[in-house]
Amino acid sequence: MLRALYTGASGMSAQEMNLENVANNLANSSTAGFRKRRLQFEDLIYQNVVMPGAASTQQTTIAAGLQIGLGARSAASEIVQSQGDFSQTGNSLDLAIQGQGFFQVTLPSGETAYTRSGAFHLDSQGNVVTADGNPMDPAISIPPNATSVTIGSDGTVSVTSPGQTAAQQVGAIQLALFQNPGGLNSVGGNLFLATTASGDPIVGTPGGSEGEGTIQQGYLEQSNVDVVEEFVQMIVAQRSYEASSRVVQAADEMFQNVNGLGR
Amino acid sequence: MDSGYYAACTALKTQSSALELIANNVANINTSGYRAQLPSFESLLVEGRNSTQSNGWSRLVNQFAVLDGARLDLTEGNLQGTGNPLDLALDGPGFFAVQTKAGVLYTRDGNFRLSAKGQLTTASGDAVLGADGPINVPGSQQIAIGPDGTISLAGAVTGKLRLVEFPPGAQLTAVGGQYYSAPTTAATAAVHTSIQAGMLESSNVNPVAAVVALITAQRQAEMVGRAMSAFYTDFNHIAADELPRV
Repeated sequence: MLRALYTGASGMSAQEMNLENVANNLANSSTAGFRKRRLQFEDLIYQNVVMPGAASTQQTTIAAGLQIGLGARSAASEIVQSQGDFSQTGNSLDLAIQGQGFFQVTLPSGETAYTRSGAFHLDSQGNVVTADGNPMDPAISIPPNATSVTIGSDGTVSVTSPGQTAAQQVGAIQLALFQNPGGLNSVGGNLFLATTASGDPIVGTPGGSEGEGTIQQGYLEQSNVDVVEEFVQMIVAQRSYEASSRVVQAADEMFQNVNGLGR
Repeated sequence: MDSGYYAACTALKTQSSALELIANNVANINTSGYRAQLPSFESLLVEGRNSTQSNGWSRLVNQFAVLDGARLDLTEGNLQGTGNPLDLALDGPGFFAVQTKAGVLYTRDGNFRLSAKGQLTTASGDAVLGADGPINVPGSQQIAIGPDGTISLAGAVTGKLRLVEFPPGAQLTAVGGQYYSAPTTAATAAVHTSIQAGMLESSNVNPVAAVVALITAQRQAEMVGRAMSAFYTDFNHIAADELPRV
């Protein structure tokens, strides 16, 4: 009977984590470039009380064994890579990726991080940086006298300067792709780090054949959180939690009953 | 002593085991690809299986109810759209074949992904089997999986998923992680199963049925508890204390 208590508790803690995940998704429903996570559950091991297929007599075998499972756990929270909506900002350094690629950003530690959030800015030296001040990789700097910045769908960055008729190319943005983007490590600030699960980045030119995607200047990709879907998931989490707590209560009452026997 | 007392004891144990099964179903109400376990009860005739001396009365009082097994509820769960092309839901009675360290196991949970090496794996990292072994996706090409399990990379057909079905009554043993093991001879190539890509099959635990089963188990345990205390306190008390005084 204690098994049912712990099994119920395992269901409750799995659903609690589900709610925590929904809360984080909802909290980031308007974070540009945010990627929602989806929690997955799996059943725990089974205790074989009667092994299915065991011999019941010399001639016959037991058709359905008695296996008692020990509950559920949250197994993984996978990053969902669906495309978010684009919103037009008109800012020349707001970039959106239409495809599966990631922008590369150099962290102060020298490590490369990856992001879908294309809200870039210029620092005092004219370098293209994220809102946190981390420079884009490959580094791109815009001359101070530039009057306009144009970023092509293939990532080519060109500027026009006063007194010059032709646009001048000052750099090219490259995008990184992952074999398993669901296995990236979220480190906050819209940044991801590569892991052994995600595989090494495949760096390429936007618009390439690998599926990096193309760059849209003047747009920002919104979070891919679907608020309605998250609310449905929240209801599911809450009701499943209730059902498991009902099991704990039933196990408790049954236990109490047994203790009351013989009085 | 009174055999009814032991019958009630057995029934109490049976109901507590049933509660454990229900607890596992409820805990997995949200586990994709999970199959509910249905308890099956059996009356255990302690005396008289092969005996000639059993009469109707002794059969009646010795028919103890025991939980003799749990069978898998193989009805389909609801399909939930996820939009991920590697989330596959099975429409029909089939299973995916997966290569694990413990040999080939079967699952209905089609929450697949590509590993860092480009192999199609389950959420726990075990290789999903195609007709000719594990499925490799070189580079990061666009993968599409057709209703019959055909895998195409960038528009070219490269393989087929191995889908199996089991005859009715096949012994499927749950091993956790939504994996089931079965005798290798039982699996046959699927004919009645198709794949819906971009969807996941949710658990087939019916919350209403689970709560009803929960209440039934709880109330039956209460009832046999009442019966036990009738035997234990009332009858024995009369036999031990009241009768000698007469």
